[in-house]
Amino acid sequence: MSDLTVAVSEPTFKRLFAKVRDNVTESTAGSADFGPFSASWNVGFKLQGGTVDLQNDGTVRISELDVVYTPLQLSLGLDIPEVCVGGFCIIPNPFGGCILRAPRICVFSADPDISLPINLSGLITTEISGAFRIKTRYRVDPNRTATMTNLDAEDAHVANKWQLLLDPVWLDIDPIDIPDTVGNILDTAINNAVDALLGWLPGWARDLIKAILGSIANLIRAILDIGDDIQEWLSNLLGVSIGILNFVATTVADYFANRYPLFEFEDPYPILGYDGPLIPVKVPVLDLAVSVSDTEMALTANVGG
Amino acid sequence: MPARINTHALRQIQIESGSLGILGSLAHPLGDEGDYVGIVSKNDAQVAAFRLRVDGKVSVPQVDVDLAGLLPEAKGRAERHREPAYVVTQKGYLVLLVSQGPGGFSVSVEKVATDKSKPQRVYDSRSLQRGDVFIVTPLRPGSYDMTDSVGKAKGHIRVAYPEVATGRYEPPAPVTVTVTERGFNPAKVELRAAQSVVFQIESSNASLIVNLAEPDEGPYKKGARSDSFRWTNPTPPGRRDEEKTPGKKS
Repeated sequence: MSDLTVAVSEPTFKRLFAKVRDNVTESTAGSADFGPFSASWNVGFKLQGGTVDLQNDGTVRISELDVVYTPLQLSLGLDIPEVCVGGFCIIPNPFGGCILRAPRICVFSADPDISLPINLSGLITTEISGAFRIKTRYRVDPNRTATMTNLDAEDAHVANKWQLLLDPVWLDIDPIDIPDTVGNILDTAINNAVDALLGWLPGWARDLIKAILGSIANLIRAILDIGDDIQEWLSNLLGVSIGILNFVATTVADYFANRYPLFEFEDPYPILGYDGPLIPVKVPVLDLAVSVSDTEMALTANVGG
Repeated sequence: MPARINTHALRQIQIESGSLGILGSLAHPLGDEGDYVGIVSKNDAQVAAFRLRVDGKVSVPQVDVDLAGLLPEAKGRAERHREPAYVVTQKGYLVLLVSQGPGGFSVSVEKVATDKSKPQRVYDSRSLQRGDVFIVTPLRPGSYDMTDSVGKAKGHIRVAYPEVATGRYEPPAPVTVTVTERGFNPAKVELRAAQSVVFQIESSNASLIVNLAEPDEGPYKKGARSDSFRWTNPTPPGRRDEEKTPGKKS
């Protein structure tokens, strides 16, 4: 039988979890070539909300934890086709082909590129849910030297610690939910890019280029392969092609399992602090174990040694 | 690549067969087999040359010579002093075009001397010959005058303002105009946006000029569109003053 048992109620556990959750914040940047277009991004996220349930099978279930993306800046780069006229056959060859063909006149140089900056910061959320086991870890501070006593280590804030961490069993992330307004943001980005490209030309020249290309917005949507559903396209681009969902899942797993403990305490555990000439009283904690039921988390340990 | 727009194509409003630019290309049928030298001039100063072999044994029906590409500044250092050489079949076409820049080119073609003959000038692009084809694509909408400065023929071209639609636009097939000693046929041409005119030369000597007489600015015409929106307070100024006066009964 253990020397010590401490029970943590579910409401207290939820407060411990909230502290961990609020510490999670991470960002990444990257770029990739997707053939017809390229994308670069700067993505960060934080966690909000969520419900916590202790389970009888010894796990902790966390549901509907909101992943709020901020910043979420995306820049799409694509080539729009040349705008050329001419190239028609003047004298056809009766046996096939063409004897004399008119030269082509190109108003645009080959494949001019266009950049669409899209700022979706704070507009997009996903929900993440998962099951976790509580794992214990004994941490020796890497800054603690071999010659330090336990008192030296406490004074230098490098004491050894017992830690409780949330070790994920599985994590589920819902597809990225894109609000309707994002369609307008993309359209605005397209219009701004076209204005930047052609805005300095006289009106008739802009209209000539737009006439030859057709609707540039439609053309860009076709190059990006957006189809009818821009929300689904962007959700797929962010979640799968760019891999934001994988980034969030691995980051959340790493934060909970390795970087932010649910709870930690010093070992040896300080019972009494400095009192005049008396040095602190510290009790070594051994064999820390944790169990979870649907009402509480229980810690057991032996002391002394 | 950053967007580069061929501004010379958008700026050119006078298209001349004797001074070739982006919007006017010239096709000349080649006759006798043999070796030729093309001498390229820009604004009447000789700037480049090329070699041309007319050989009935080859099957190349036309050779496109980009005159802007022959300028020393357009070539790499290694190519700068090398004359490009082309081969085309007998009865094929020498096509003179300008892909960029302000234009102003003309070309004279000389047959290279052989044991039996002296060098001989066989063609000068400033003077169109029977069988030549001058291809013009006026981009700017509006009314153009077309004239043959040799035969004194005159005519008109109207280029419609482009209509922006959702789909891509393909200009219609070119309109063919024959140039004879009697004039242009037809003498009035209606073009849609970016549609070309092909002048078939059937006179012994011609020099064509297509010149913008009156541009069509479409919706950008002065006074055709208001750029700003003005809101006017519907309450007359007198009434506004009354409402602001405290304690005054209405």
